[in-house]
Amino acid sequence: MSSNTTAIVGVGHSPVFRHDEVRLGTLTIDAATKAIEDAGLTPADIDGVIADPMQPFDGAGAVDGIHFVSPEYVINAMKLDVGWYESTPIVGLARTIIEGSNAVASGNCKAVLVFRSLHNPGGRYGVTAPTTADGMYQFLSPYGLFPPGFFAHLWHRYMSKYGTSREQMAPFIVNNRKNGLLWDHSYWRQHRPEELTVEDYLEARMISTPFGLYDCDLPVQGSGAFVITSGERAKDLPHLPAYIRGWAVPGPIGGWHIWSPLETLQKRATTFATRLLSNADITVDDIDVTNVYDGFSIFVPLWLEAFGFCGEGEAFDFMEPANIAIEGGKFPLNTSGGNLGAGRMHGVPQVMESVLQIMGRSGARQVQRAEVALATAGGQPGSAGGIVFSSTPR
Amino acid sequence: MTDMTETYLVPPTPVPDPLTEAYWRGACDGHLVIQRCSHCSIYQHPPTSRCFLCSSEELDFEAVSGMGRIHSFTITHDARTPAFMARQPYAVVWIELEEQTELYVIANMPETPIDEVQIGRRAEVYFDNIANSVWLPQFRLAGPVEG
Repeated sequence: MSSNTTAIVGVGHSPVFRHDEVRLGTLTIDAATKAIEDAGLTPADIDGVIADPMQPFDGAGAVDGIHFVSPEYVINAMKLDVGWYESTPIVGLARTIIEGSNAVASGNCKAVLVFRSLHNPGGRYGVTAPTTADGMYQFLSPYGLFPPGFFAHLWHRYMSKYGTSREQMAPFIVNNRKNGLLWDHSYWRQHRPEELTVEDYLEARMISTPFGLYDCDLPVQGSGAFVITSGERAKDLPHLPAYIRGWAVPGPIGGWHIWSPLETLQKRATTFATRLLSNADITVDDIDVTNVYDGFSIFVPLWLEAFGFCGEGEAFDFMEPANIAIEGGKFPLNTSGGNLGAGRMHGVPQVMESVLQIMGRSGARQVQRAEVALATAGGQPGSAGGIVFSSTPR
Repeated sequence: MTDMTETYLVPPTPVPDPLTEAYWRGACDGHLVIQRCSHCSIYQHPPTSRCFLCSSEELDFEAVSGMGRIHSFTITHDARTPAFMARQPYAVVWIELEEQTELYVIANMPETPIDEVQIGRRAEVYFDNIANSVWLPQFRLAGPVEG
């Protein structure tokens, strides 16, 4: 093990709510406290904190502890004695984990707390009435283009090239909800423990074609937290360490990413996936469990193709439950249900579940011999970032 | 503007900046004006301060034909701003302009029935006056389906 090896050694998750019934600051402290305890540490051991405080919609509000939660809020509330902290808006969870890992790897921090807290106010989600649009929005908002429309066009194009249908997506969505009902931190498990049927999926109202209601993750309020420390120290802590074996962040896009048509995204995602596997010194065949970001359903087949689990245009066949199920599947996929099965926790279900699988703590979701786990977190394929965790250091 | 009524709700209007001013001024004058590199001649949209291809800072604007094809689209049934809640369902289209592959403009097709918005169909630009001196490039079907 090299001296700059790092590992996630503890995780914590708040209860998840549909809206802001409980303050986001309260939920965040709950998650952070649990993560530190889970790591076998105390708040006095934490000397670094990083978070992405951005909320994924306009007009989320600006009050720290209510509308978002900053590292400063957590440091003050928990009386942490830090030598480093950072807010990195709009980079997603994977990249804050990467920065936290770097702070430890550099030797300047001993134990870093990373958290992601998602706010969902009451009322209809993300509704705003701006009168003007500047920056990139000047080419989008005047045309009524918002998420999930940003991404829906990818699937229409995919359909026209490879001939897939919504019917072919349904089994994956159903399987994903099933996995989500096994995930302790799923909104669905905690509040509406209902299986989803193919008919539910197909008959749900349209949001932005071809996305229906269940192609989109459900906005929720909650917080997830992680503790990162050195590989050396990790050996003495209660759980098997989930070593951060390799990571990658894609380069910036020429032009604005909202404009990326399918073909551009496929190229970028493949380049990024290849680099991530190379950085982790693995091939796709080494991956035992896969948790790719699924804020919108079409992301999943595109990620699978980018990593080379199957060929271009073949992912819908690959995603058959027999192939991706926790039990008996050769390629267990999104074993915590991802965002679609858990709620819009922005990469927490992907990263936390990958960590737990490596630690052997996934309970009913546990995959046999989970030695290498892949997590991507945030945004469409080829954006945000990805991490490979392993049970042995690189 | 089509069918203006008292209840018509104006969409958010674009705020031109140093890079995009020529685009919106062009629309006001009835032209689709796209940024073009003076050095390598590539078109790029939206405008940027440096050419993506050759990194030149010598960028100009040029009127294009306004013809293209629907590369992809989505029909939105669940808008987030009042102006569009009043219009849903409505199409958002990615038009690949005929001047260059992978050169896209995002627009609506307000005059086209939504089931006729299909990938591969030819479309042509027109300009929609949404507020005082604010004109949006919009698209409508051009020619037969097979185009």
